[in-house]
Amino acid sequence: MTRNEPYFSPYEIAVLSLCGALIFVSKVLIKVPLHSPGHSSLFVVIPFLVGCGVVRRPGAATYIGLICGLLASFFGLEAFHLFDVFKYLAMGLVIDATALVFNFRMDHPAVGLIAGAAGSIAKMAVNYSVHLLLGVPATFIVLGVGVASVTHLVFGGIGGVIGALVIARLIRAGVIASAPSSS
Amino acid sequence: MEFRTRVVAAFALLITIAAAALAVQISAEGLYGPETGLEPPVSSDMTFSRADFLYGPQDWRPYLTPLSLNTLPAADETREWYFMFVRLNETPQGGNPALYTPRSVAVDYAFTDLSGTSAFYLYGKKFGSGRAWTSRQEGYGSSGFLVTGTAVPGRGMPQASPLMHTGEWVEMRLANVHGLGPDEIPTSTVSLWFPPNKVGQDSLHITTDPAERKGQVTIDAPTTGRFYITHTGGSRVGAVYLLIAVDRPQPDSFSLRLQTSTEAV
Repeated sequence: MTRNEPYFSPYEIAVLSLCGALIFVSKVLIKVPLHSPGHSSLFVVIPFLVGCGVVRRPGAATYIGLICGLLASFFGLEAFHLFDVFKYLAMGLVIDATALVFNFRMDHPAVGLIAGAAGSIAKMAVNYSVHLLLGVPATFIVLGVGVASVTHLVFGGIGGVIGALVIARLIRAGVIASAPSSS
Repeated sequence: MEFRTRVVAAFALLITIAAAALAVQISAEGLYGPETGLEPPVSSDMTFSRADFLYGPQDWRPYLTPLSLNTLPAADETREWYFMFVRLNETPQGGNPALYTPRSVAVDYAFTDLSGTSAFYLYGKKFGSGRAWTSRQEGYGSSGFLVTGTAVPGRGMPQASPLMHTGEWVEMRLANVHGLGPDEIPTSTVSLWFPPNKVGQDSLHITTDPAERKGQVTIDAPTTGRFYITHTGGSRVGAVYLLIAVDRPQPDSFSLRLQTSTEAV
C-alpha cells in the first residue's frame, strides 16, 4: 500500500499557519492612525512574503491567506465576516502567482514590491466587489477607487519591500537557503 | 524572459491598473462633481436597518455647541438617543430665483417596526465650502419631524458608540455605506464646519407643506408618510444630510425606507 506524501511538510504547515495567525494578530493589535485606504497592507503583506519566501512552493501564500481569512471571519475582525476569507485568499493567490513568475526570488526588493503591491490591489478589488454585492452604492466606490488603488499600491509595495529585506536577512544569516537563480 | 524584463513588465502592469482606476475616478468626478453642478447619485431609494445607527446613546446632536435631542418631544429630559447620518441625493434651493431654480426635496419615509419615537433633523453644506447648516429646533423658525411607533424595543444597539463633541469641526460617518469606515470607502465620512458665531440654523427647514417654507414642528406623525426639506438662505446648497434619531434600541425587524425626489416650489 502506498502512502501519498503531503504537499506541505509539517514544518512548512507550521510556518505558514504562524504567518497567517501573525497577520490576524497584527490586524488586531496594530492601529496606524493614517485613515487612508490600504494602509494596513504596510504590515499585512510582510508575513505573506516571509511565509512564501521560506516555503517556496506554489500555494504557500494562498494557505496563509486562508488561515488569516478564516481567523478574521470567525473572530469578526472586520465588517464582512465570512467574506473576509475571499479578501485574504485573493491576496495570497496573487502573491503566489507573482512568486511563480519570479521563481520565488522573494528576497529581491523589486519582487517584494511587486508582490506586495499586486496582493494589496487584489485585496482591494475583492473588497470592493463584496461591497457592491452587498448593496453599497457604486458611486461611493467609484469616487474613491483611484486614490484607493494608488494608496493600496504604495502601502502594499512598502510592506513587500520590508518582507523581501527580512527574507534577504534570513538568507544571509543562514536560517534559510538562498533562492534559486531567477533568469 | 529575463528577470529584469519581468520586473519592468510587472511594474508597468501595476502602474497601468492604478492609472486606469484614477482615470475612472476622475471621469466619475467630472460627471458628478462640482464642475457640472450635479450631485453624486448616492441613492434616491435607500433602506436602513437597526445596524445603521452608528452613534449613541446620547442626548445631543452635533453643532458648534451640542443641541439637545430632548427639546422637541419636551416630555422626558433624560431620554438617550441613537442616530444615523444619511446623505441625500437631492438638494433644496431657495434664494434669488433669478440666480437659482427654487426647489424643495420630498422625502417619503416608511418605518417597519419602529419602537418609540424617531426624529428627523437636517444638516447641510454650502456649495463649494465646508460651512455647515442645521435645522433650528427651538424658538422662532424651529422645525422638526417626529414619528411614533408601537413595536417592542430591541435589546441594545451594540454597534453604536457616542459621538465626541468636537466644536467647530464635526466629522461623521454616513449610514449610506452601512457602517464601513474610511479605510474601506474613502467617501464614507463627511466633515462639517460650524462657524464660531453660532449662525447657520435658519437656512434649512422641515415642513409638511412646501408652501410653508420656514417649516414647523410635527409630532406624532404616522410611520409612513412624506415631509419636505426647504431652503431659505441666499447661498447655493452643496449637500443635504438627514440625521435620523431613535430614542430606544430598535428590534431586529426594524427598517426604514427613504425615497427622495425634487419638487419645484
